[in-house]
Amino acid sequence: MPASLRLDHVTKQYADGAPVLDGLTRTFDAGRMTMLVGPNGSGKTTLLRLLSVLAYPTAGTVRYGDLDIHAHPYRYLQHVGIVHAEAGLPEHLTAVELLEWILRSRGKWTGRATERIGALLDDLSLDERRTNLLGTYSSGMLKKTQIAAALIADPEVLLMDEPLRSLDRATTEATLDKIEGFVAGGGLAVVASHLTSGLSGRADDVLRLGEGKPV
Amino acid sequence: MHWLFPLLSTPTHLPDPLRHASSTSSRAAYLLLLGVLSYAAALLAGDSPVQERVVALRIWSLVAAGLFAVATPNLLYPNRDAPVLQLLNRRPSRLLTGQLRDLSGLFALVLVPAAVLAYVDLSGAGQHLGSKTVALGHAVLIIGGVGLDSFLYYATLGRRSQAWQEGRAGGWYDATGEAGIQFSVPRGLVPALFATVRCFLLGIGLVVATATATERGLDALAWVPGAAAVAWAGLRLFRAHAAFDRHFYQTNAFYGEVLGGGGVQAREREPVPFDTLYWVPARWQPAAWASLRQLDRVLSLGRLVAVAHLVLWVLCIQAAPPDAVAGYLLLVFALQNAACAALVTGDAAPPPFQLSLQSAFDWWGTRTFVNLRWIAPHAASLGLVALFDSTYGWTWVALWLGVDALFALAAAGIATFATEGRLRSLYP
Repeated sequence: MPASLRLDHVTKQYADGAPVLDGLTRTFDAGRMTMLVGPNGSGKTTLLRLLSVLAYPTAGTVRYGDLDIHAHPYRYLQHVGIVHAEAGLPEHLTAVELLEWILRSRGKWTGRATERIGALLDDLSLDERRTNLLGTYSSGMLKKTQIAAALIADPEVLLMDEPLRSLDRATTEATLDKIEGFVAGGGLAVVASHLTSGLSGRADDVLRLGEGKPV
Repeated sequence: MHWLFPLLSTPTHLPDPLRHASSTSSRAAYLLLLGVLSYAAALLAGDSPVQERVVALRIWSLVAAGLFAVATPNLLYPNRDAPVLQLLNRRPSRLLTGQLRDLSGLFALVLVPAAVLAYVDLSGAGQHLGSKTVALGHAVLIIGGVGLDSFLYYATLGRRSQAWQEGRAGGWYDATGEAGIQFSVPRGLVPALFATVRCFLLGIGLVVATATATERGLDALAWVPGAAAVAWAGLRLFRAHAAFDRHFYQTNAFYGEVLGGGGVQAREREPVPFDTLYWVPARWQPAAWASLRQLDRVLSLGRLVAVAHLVLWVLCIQAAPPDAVAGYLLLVFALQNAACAALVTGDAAPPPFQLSLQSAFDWWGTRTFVNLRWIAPHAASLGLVALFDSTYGWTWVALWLGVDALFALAAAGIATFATEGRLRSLYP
């Protein structure tokens, strides 16, 4: 059973400026999807960067179960799938190769892996161009690839920053279904998105940032 | 500057997660630099007697220490592949070896010319092989020790740097601001500046200790400083490898914030005013102005140029052989002009933006003048040397200013070919 993600009095500031997050205490439970909302600069991306270990807190701790995620990033990341706002994917690989690489690197390559990759990309409507180089993809195709890369290794925690940006209507629905299915299977999802119309009806919790104390 | 030092190893079945994979032109630039350095080393070696080679290798070891002290964090951080590395979730030991591999280009850049210095001998390649090998061995150990030490020191500096950046450490440093002696860099980079000095001092100490033992005939003892440095760094690497994931992500997070993320602090550096660029042709002034502002916020080149000239004066005061001074100037001018590579990263030169601004030819011109920004300080420094040292004259000054101008043109051309040139072919 996946564990919870718990933030204890987490503060994050850049240089000596005002804290973007100030003493945030919050638990993200397994089997629930939390939507992060707030105006630009409210700290949504900063919080996701903290949860994905691309940023370190000024004060406080983040634990996954008993694990301090910033002290043991490798052990934590074994459980995590991440969609960053920017693609940042290797341009000279195809989507299929990228997913194969992730599975092999994480020791999850099996005889049925090729079928799994194909099925996941089918679900996300990434067409026959899945065997083209990522450097030739449109922004929507890159986003689909990012989502597939986050999901392919069967994570227990899903962190997504603007996962619906650049997606067409059909893929948006498919992605939302994927997230919903992931959460229904006991996964823990934290999603930041300005496209709230599709998400708000499906999210279990909403964390509002940048409007005084988070609620 | 990642493009400057492409990885030397070949992946087994799939490419490395390089989003901006080394292009043919960037590999060519690296090989060109390696070739220039090796050629300069060969010229210097010539038919020199063994003792002169020993001295030259010591000077080269000092230069290498300076390179590792300055270049290591710039080469490694922030790592643009971090999101992909997270997806792959590389083991701590693989993160460690990956970063060492990223640094291998720099090792090759200093070790190959060192080998040329030792063995290229016009008077007979087979002469004094034992002595030459010993001198090279000392240099390799010193360079290896300083390189590994600087790598490990910078790789584990993230926690302390972040504490400085957020004002949780280095309280004493604030007091220096009132005296007006603070560095013009973001506060979090101050520990890295101290690390630069530390690494360079380590190099000086190792060279002096090795030279002292050699000069006193303590041949066995002369191996100790370098070997001890390598062993000490190796031991610390071994101790750190199990938790290297934390070091990697924390140091990368710090550099990501301070150099590329929400922590960029333009206010801590006085930006270049537009009207100070009166010496740049009008058509390139706007792009040169924007380029210099970006470059100044990424790289403290002024301080490095100042340090480089201080070293030059020390070399001249110490009556170093003119060939050694020439090799040193070649290196300084090559590296200074290669810094324009910082202007052609994906962040600094987003493809659609670049394409809409001006032609590839204009970018070449722009970057040439960005590189030429330092020609006046170079002229002043070389002029001082010519004034006080009868070994060098005004022709020598003019020659080196010409070399600098050529390097400026060539480096700008290579950088432009690698970016806008490539883009033009992708988006005709």
